Amino acid sequence: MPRHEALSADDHRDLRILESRDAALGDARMACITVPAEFRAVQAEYPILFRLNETRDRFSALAMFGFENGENLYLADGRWDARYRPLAIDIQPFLIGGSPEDDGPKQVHVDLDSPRIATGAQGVRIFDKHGRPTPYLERVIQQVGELDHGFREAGAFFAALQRYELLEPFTLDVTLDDGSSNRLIGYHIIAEERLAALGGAVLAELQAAGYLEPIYMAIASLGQISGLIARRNRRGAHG
Amino acid sequence: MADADPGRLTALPPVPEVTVADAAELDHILREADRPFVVRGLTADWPLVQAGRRSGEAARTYLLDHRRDRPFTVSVGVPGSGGRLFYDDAMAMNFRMMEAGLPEIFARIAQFAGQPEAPSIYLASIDMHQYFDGLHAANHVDLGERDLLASIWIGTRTRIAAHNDVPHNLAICAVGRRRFTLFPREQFRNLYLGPVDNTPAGRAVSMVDFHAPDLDRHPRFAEALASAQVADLAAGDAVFIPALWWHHVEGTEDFNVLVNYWWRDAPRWMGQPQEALNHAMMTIRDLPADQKAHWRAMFDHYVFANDDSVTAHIPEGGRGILDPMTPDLAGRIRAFLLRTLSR
Repeated sequence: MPRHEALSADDHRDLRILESRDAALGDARMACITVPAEFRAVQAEYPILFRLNETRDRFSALAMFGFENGENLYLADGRWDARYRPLAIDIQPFLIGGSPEDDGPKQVHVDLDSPRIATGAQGVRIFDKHGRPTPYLERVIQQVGELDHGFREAGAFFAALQRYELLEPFTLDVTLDDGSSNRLIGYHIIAEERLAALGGAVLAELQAAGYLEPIYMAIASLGQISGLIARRNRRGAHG
Repeated sequence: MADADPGRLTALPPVPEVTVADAAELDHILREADRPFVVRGLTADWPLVQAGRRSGEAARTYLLDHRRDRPFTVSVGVPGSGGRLFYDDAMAMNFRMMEAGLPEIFARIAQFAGQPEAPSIYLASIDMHQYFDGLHAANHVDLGERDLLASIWIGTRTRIAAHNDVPHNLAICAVGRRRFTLFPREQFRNLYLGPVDNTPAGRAVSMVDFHAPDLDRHPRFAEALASAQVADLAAGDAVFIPALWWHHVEGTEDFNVLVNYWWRDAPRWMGQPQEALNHAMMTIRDLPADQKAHWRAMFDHYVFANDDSVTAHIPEGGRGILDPMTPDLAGRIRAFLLRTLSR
């Protein structure tokens, strides 16, 4: 069982968090979950793909970092090579407490088994010596709130995408400079032809709900696939 | 509709009727049911049923009041087909699919009322939640914890060839009249099924014209009729059709509305058996007979007659997809198939 605890100044006053970006700190991952509320920021750096959950009844959105498990093409030399990191990455080792369905503000929890928890004197403090949140923690608290809000909006967003059949299966075949082939399979993207065929009433409904922007941001994000391929080719050439 | 009804079809025995006191009793009966049954007046108190009893126009107004403002997919038959939505002589469909707003579609239905030769208009399998707002809330049967697909079927006089569906089905005649002619699962051999891929609505259908059966061309249909049952439903009546039972469905008034609920015993992530069958047609059907015999035996061993002998000799933890199926294992098989099929 992971040790998740509700964050408190009393229990966690001296906690320090390692901020560097490294496979050993849990950053070697090919994707992370993202929410429509941050698609605008995410699409400037990463492809956004959609995926059904294991039980095939719910979609989620993923910001893609690589082509296979464990591959994060944005990770190099202890840093993350992008101007924006998705919320789900940036809040670690903190998480949203409680159940996703709960209304109201959530507590911030911390994963005490995370390799980001500093054991020595390195890292950034989350509380000052008076027990007040540091600017670092204040930033995380805000991000946790944004992510929680984003998750709660996402259900209705995906329901609308399914209602108007705006998701379609997507397979990507990539042949790299070294001749090897990679494949992304089992994902969905926005069905652009169906989107283009929508009538004014439906478009107005999507606009009023705030869904049109993330839909088009997700489409725009597919332009980042070529960037992802280029990163992979560069990595192949150097190593 | 006495005009074209052959004697042997009108003489079919009726589907047995049951009475249910409440949702708990209906739930219990559905759990136990292995054959069709009819419940008279199950939804007599629905606002939609009440509106339809006033007039077709009142029912249409009620539906329009709850519609979402989006195009509906509608099938329009050829004039003079008697409402039969089927193949033409060249095995193309004798109806066209188009998209239109519900008010325009209903205006056309109202215009055609009382004209037997008018083209049939049919809105088939319309999702109650995605195309209407609040319609399900005000007009639904309490089916407990079942994960339902709730659909509405709206149209003029129509006749849908006998076919079967994978889920269980509770179908409610909400407006007009509906006649279901039902056959047990194994009768598929006697129903002369048409193509599996080129179908009117996704499922293979019987090529037999129930209003004019040609027993020279389809002699075994007489055997099917020997086990057929009929459910004549008025507004508010319901029929339960067990999964995979064959059903021929007629709307017999100028305006008919059906509401139905589909649910599966198996979770969604287990996928569709029809896909396995189609895949086997591609990979196995045209093999030499001796190899087909081997694959039949393998299917029996792993799928149909599977028992402990399949896995008992393999250490636990090393059985892979031979272990009881889970969403995780299903995901692995799906990923494997996706990769191999797209090679």
